[in-house]
Amino acid sequence: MAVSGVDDDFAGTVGEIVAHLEHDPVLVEEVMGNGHTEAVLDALTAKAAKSSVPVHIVLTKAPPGLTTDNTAEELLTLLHARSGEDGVWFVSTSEVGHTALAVYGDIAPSVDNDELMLAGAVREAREAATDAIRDSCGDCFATPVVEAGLVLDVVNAGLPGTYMENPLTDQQIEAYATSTWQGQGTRSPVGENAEMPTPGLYAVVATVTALCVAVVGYRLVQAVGGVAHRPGSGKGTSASSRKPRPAPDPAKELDRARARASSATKKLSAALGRADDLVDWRRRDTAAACLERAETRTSSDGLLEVVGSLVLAQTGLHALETSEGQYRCCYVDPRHGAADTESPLGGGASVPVCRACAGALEKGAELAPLHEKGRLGNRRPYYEGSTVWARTGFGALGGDWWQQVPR
Amino acid sequence: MNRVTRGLVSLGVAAGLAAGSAVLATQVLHDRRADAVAAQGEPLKAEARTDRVVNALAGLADDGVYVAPDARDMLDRAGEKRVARAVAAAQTPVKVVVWTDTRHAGASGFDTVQQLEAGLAESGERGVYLIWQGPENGDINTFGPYGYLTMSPHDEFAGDPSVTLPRLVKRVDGEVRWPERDTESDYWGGVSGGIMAGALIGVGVLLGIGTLYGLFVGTTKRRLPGTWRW
Repeated sequence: MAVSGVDDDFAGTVGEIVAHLEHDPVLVEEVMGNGHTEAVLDALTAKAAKSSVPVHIVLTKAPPGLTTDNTAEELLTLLHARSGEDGVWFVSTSEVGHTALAVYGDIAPSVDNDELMLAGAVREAREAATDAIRDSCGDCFATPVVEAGLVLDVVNAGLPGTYMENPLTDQQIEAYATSTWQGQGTRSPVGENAEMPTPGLYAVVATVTALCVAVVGYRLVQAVGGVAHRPGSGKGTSASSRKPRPAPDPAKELDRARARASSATKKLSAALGRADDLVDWRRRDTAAACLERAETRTSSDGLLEVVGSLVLAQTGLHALETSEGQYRCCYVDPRHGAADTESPLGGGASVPVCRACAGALEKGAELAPLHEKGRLGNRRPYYEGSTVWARTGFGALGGDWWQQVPR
Repeated sequence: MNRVTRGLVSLGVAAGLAAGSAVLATQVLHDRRADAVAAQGEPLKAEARTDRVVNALAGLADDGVYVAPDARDMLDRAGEKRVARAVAAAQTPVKVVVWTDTRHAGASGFDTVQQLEAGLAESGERGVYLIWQGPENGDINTFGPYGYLTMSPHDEFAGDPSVTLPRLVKRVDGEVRWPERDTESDYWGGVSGGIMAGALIGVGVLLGIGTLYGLFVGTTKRRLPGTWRW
């Protein structure tokens, strides 16, 4: 059913609208009322009452029978022609919300083109109102009711003398940035539907969180005050011994090694001279080969070469002095002397080491290997390099290794 | 502190953290969803309704038919009575609104229909509403929980509404479906399913964390102190 009383009041034809305007200059129908028809109608009526010139504001559905696309303009023309009333006319029609503005007669004697000046001022004011509305609501826009209000405001403020000038104050503009006047895009959810989580989703979130936090948390708590690790090593060591030892002075290191190498080489040379036929020729042969390679290296500038000279001399002496086995130095650093035992050095390989290094390996303490200078100036254990010494381990790895050493 | 005590402390702390974070996570999930649900319902609250929707709901209250003042040229009083008779004869509660299509009645077309639907569903009953805005223009849908029908305004809204609308109203009983919706339906399969799915996802997350930690160790050569074992 129809809401009582309202039904028959609807001005559905040009004649009915004109009849309404004869006793009320403002017509706002629900179909164009921006959801607040009563409030808008009251506000526009109050503004119209203040106007010193005749105003006619019509916001309604276009009556049936109009023939053009812009029904607002057509309706305005028809209403003016039917009523013959001069003054300001503003018409807006559903569904598109076309607006039409016209001035008939001279409403401002000091202004030449009343309609142009009014339209320009309203357009500027509308821009300002749109900015004000967007400031508080990005999805909102100025509606035909805003424009109707602005038309009345500009008329009441007096037409500006220059084209495209907004004569309204900021306060007047900002009054339109409210839900009564502004329009808003779709607010209800389209397609998506928020629902409370199911028990299953709670369980998923709780389980994932608990599992991850438990595992990570346990490991982190274990880390608090836990034994620190040497960089790049799988073995634990105490936090206090983590600091790397300061590198010894390379020049002193080289001199010291050279002194040892020279004395060992001289000793071997002398021993070889003394050696008579009582010594097996093969052992003498080995000693001679070692001496030959050792002598050329004692004066080298490379620490590894000098150390190599030392080990070669010791190997030669060992060969002359005893027929059993061959000289095995400490793999970690040949300067440690002869190996006493074998220890695993990672990777499952066991190498001969001195007693001190064996103890360090067992405890997982830091080793003090013979270092070489890497290509980038960094120090690294010689056995990480690719020299003949790394390949042979200075004889620690056994075999007739001296034969691999170039003369 | 010996190793066993220390390990037990680690376990206890980790379990506490896990329980606390799980409670926190579910709480956050609950609150965020509750906010989303509340925000979703905001535009459909009674206070947010446009005067057009309020008037329509008031007009529908007695005989289930409302013709807006601006729509009298579409459906006259005689036509309205015929629609009302068809509505009275239908078993399904049917509400018929005739009004003009407009973009300037205070809400978007979609919001206007949603507001009307929310208003109709407020009574707790379920039924069907038809909104005639013109040929091929309007809406046919259900209000209240979980229904659908196969009629569409694009196919059905044609001709004189005083003839078409009563005919459509008569067809509603045969076209509307109220499927039994399983309200217990749970994508994750309830609590036990959720726990299993969560364990699976959690293992995946931990593998990711482990990989990242491995990369960290590989590049910086630094490792967390301590070990997993006691």
